[in-house]
Amino acid sequence: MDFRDKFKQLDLGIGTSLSRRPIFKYLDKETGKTIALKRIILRHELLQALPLTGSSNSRQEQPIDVGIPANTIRQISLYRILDHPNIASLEYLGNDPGDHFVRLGFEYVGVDLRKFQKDNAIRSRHPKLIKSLMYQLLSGIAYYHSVNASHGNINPTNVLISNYGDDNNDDEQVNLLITNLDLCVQPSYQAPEILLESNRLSTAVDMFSAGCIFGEMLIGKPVFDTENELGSIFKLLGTPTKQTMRGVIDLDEKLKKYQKHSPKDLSETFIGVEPAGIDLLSKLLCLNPKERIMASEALKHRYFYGIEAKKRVPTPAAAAAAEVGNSSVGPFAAEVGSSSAGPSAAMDSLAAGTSAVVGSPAASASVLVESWIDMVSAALDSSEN
Amino acid sequence: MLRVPDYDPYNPIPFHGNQRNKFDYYFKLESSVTDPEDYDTRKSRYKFRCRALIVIFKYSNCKSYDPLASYLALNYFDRYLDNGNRVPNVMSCLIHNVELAVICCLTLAWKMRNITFNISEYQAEMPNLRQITEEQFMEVEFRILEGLNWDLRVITPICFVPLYTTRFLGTSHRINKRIIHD
Repeated sequence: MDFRDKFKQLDLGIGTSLSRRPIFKYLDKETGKTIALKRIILRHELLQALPLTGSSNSRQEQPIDVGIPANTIRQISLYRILDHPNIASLEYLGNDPGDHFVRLGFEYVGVDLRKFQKDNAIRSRHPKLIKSLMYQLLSGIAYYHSVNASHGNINPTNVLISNYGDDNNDDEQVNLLITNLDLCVQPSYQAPEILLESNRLSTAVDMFSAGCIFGEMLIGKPVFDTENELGSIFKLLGTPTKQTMRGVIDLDEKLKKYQKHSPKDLSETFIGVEPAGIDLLSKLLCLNPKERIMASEALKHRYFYGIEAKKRVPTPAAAAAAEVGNSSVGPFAAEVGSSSAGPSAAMDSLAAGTSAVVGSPAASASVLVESWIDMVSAALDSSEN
Repeated sequence: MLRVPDYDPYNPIPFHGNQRNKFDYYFKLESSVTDPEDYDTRKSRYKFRCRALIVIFKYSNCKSYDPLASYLALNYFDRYLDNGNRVPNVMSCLIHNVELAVICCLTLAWKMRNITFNISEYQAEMPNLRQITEEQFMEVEFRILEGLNWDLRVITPICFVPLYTTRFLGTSHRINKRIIHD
């Protein structure tokens, strides 16, 4: 079905993309779900023309080549299988006319974090709500990190808040979703190693961005300046030295233009925040990515004592997936991991056979491997005797 | 997205929750797909797969050699045909179309395994492939990705090796971890 037949554009644009195109929300005429579109480039030459910011950073790893860029393939194949209550699901995947782009439609529920804070100035500062939202944010990030992938663009436009009702609603019912739209945002919420153009990036970049969001929730405004982001990071956290950022980047040249600062006591900037919150914030905003707390550890931090992950309200997409049946684990569950060559083909290939693998009867890997274990063990035991 | 690492055969799909339940999750995904009943009886399908094996064997032996990429390529090719897709028609004859489809499965697999893989360099290494144009690579790769619904992070039996490693180790003192992984 054509995109225009399937979706209706909603009036309100949600921002401007990095390639300076307005991004709109669309209503799925069949399901009633709202999505926001992201375009991913299929052509190397177009990829080279994009500004090097946000999630486009990966192009530095890809020289011009023929065929579809490797990072494009990796990104989309990962989006296809993401299935987590705090991650916006991919609801639509289609081609752009001319096949220069792929259109990705991510579920869009509620409002982004910045609008939520603006419209709910008092409620958005409730300590219990902040704790619940941070737990959900870190859960989503931990999910990305479970396959060593990084989101790379955690910022308030990519954090959606829904189910918040009015001031009397239970804070733990408020739902957070991480999406991945390439919207322009200032400041960038990027980690100092990205702003310093380090080529040794890791999943820790997401944790610094999470720290920026945590700080913004606590004080109700961005922690760092829009104009001089790196300068304001150093003003609060101290100017890095060779010792504090050892092995991350050669700082000599890059730090010349920045004034030297000592790290400030975060409890003086984030007044009234409980000590455990300050401790977590300091670990998220650690300048050295190698020493920065990781998502799985952060979820166990004492700041979250009393929070239970299972209390989260499922997103509409997750609820819809649950209705499909227990065997389904996501909107594309039936296709995920569809290894139709079959486990037996794998076993054959592993054995380096060629002619024997042409046939591939259906069976599950568990049954095959179990029988294989018995067979190999028996063979070895008999040879020992 | 800033970074999606190389395809890890032991950890292909994100998982949240207790790690002890990870293999249950993988089994659930894997068992949701079974092969068609007439998999090995359709003559053309059999011929295509024989050809695919030969092409993969011949063209995977290069600087970028990676046994897992060869395995993934065959998985992609099988799934592409099993999903009811026709071999992309961009060359002069059917057999060349099949061979190009297999080669594109191989390039896609390498791209999942090695971010620095470069088709231009690969063509320079394989003189027989120089006649394939940029547009042909583009079109066939795209058609295969569409046919596979972009599902390239597949669950394979290799995912379960860590699960069974401990069981192997308990069966005979002659089996060690190195033998299993080899």
